[in-house]
Amino acid sequence: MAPSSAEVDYWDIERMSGVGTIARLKNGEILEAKDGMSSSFNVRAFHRGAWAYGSTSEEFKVQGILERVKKSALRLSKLVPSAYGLGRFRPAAKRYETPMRIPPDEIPVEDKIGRLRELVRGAGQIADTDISYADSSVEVSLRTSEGFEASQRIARCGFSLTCIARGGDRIERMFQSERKTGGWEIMESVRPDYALECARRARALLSAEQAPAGEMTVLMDPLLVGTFAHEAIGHMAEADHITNRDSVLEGKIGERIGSELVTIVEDKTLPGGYGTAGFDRDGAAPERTVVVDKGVLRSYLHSRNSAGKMDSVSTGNCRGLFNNVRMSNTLVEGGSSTLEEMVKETKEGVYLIGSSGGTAMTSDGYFNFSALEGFLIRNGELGARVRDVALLGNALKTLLSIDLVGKEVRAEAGMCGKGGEWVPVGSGGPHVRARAVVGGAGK
Amino acid sequence: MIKGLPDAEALAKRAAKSSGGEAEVFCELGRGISASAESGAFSDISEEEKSGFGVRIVLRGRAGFSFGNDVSKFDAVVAQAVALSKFGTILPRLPGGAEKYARVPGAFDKKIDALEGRDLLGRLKGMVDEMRTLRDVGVRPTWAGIEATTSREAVANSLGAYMEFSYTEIGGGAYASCGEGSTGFEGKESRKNDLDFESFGRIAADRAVEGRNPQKIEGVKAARILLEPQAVSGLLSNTLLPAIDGENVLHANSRLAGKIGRKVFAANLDITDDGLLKGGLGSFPGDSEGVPCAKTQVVSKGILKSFLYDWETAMQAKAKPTGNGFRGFSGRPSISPTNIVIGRGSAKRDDMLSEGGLFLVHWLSGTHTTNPFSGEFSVEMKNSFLVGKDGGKTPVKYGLIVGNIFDVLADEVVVARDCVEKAKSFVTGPVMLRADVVA
Repeated sequence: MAPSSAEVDYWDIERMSGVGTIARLKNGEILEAKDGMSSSFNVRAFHRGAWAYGSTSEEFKVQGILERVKKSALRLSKLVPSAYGLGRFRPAAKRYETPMRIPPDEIPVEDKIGRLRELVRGAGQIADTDISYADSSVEVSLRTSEGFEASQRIARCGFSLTCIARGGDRIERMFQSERKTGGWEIMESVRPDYALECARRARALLSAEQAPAGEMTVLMDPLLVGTFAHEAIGHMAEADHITNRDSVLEGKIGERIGSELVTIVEDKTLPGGYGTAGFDRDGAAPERTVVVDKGVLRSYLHSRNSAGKMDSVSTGNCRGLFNNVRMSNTLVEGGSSTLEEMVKETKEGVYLIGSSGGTAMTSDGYFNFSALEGFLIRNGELGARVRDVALLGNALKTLLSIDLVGKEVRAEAGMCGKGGEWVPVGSGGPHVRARAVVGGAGK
Repeated sequence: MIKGLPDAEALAKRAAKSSGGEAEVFCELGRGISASAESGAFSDISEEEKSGFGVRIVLRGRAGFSFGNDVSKFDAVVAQAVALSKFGTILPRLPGGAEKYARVPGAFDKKIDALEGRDLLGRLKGMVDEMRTLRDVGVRPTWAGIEATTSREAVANSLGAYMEFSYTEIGGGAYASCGEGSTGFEGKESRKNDLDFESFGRIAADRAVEGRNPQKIEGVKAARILLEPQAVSGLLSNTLLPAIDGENVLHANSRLAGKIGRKVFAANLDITDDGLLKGGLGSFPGDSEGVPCAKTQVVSKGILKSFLYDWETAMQAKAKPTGNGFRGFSGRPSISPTNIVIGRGSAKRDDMLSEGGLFLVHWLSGTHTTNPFSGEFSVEMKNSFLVGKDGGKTPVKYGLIVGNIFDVLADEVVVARDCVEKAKSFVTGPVMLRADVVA
């Protein structure tokens, strides 16, 4: 493609083409099986603080779109009150491929479906099963006006499983997932009783009590801690919220914002992490960014754009089609306690397990999450099982209240929909004890 | 035939011939432009196009699906769909070809279709300027954005069904902050170029001012809660809609399964899915399988009348398809509401407010965390107020609304007959209900 004559500070072209298989089985019967292939071209132009974007799925239109977005960026730059340039970044290697042992496209569709049926066979005796499998292989190439060129192939594979149990007028569900960057080996490593455990948890919820309500001590499991790290802290540390002045972490670099037991990292290099890649939308190399170090806020998460605005350096967090600051894999680091010790040291509270998602407002710092199930804790022992329990709190207050951190760290895949654009992410941590408001229907 | 779209009819015939089965082709061409401002300053402008096609082949009673966006590879996509039909869902046949479609006037606005990115900047400036008029009392524009889209779609099958439809949409929103912890939001969408963007800025700023100095509420209390339309949409999208989805009903994953003809909700509650609603954001002549859209009474005077179905689920459930099978080119059709109209409003919003003793909630956060099967929810109130008996409003710092949607809607529910808004898939006035508030 011939370079353009229009003068902007920066432009780039990203080409994405993907193939993949999706299959969904309900009680072992196929609800959906599809293959597909698609491609898109995403073009950006930047000039003195103004961005313009364009995308198309037809290659012959790319040059025309590039010319138009350059003109749009030039026009918009005249309306931007304070000009700035793009921030510094560490360019990525020329080529990256997700490490994998067995490419999913070498597995026939019938074998994929056979494996899914095998996984849910036992569970189907005690609950309805709904299993959704997806593998994808996306080839991405990036070329910029600064002469940077790189390409990567990102492969993801795995499944999510929902088990549904009925009893009387009650319907309860349990959800588990096993999704990573990698190949079919992820499916081969799933333990045989994986679905059975999910089904048993769903059935057990039929006799679970309603959760209590009010402010109390909560023991969060690694997956809920991951949701907390991502939603409540990670989003607030995204530098676009800082430059936009709608984050409670504005101006707090170097300040203590949490318990000294807490360290939170954003790790673009995590092996198998759902958000792991060879470079971000800017072409920045992946890195492990320490966001909170022993309770002290150390870094925001940056794209080149936010780094330019704040005279900082990109942390490799520009993801999505255009220019969003996004997380990759966000983790709370492990501490020194075992789960048994943490339960034993809790006089009264609730142990919350699993996450059905959550949300947080960066501007006021309040979050709310829902756990999949929980157990009451009385005098250092686990008591009755509780269901549908939500958690509400102020992120910084909760972070400061953490007084026990577990040893073992686990992470889970998820999708983050910031700005209406969904990107794959990972999140996790160890067990953590804190104070928060629990919103159950039990009094 | 719509300019720019592949000839879906010819492709469907070609796919049927090469596969030996029934074939359906769905083609889509979408264009969107947007612009946004951060902290009151223009930040970006964007144009996007997407196009592609999905192919469904029914062979030996099973359906296979595949998709692509390069028509020169159409035959390879068909071959994939044929191969996958061996493992596909049971589907005896595709919709027939003698369908008549109603007209949906006002769905396409040439003025929206002709907009360019730069045309949005004046509207954006209007929103930001309105927020700035209250800067003296501490209001700050946080974010403002506008998006305009044009969609062109056609679906054809080898049995002769053919439908094409073009529609536009424009929408925008403004966020303003005031002091610590007070954020105001307002936003709307329309298929016509008739939105007053400046008013979004003004309302967002007013709400931010109203929310200053929020007070903490403590403990748990059963309360009357007046949900504004955006909050109604947020709560019901994740609790009621899964329960009337024909696929969940088919698999007995809805608490409403098996209850057609029974009283399930309060007697003053009507719920209708109206795919032909004039001016509705979800109005179409037919769904993306070519089944004509219709007005489906879901609940009448609290009595359950119908569920929503796409073609495939209706065939399996031996039910009548309701024209609710929608998709993009890369997905198989699935059940989606058109315009959910909440009706039988009996009171005026201001009369309900003037009674006092209730919480007023503009929107809810965390609605996606509700349990779609049990109906239990625990969602955070935002832009919310405690309205006293004297009508005085105190901003609430934070709180959760907790309950079970099936119990809540069976209890006392009052739908306002005024202040009706289009909020995502819903067309509703404010709704008052009873639930627990936890803080």
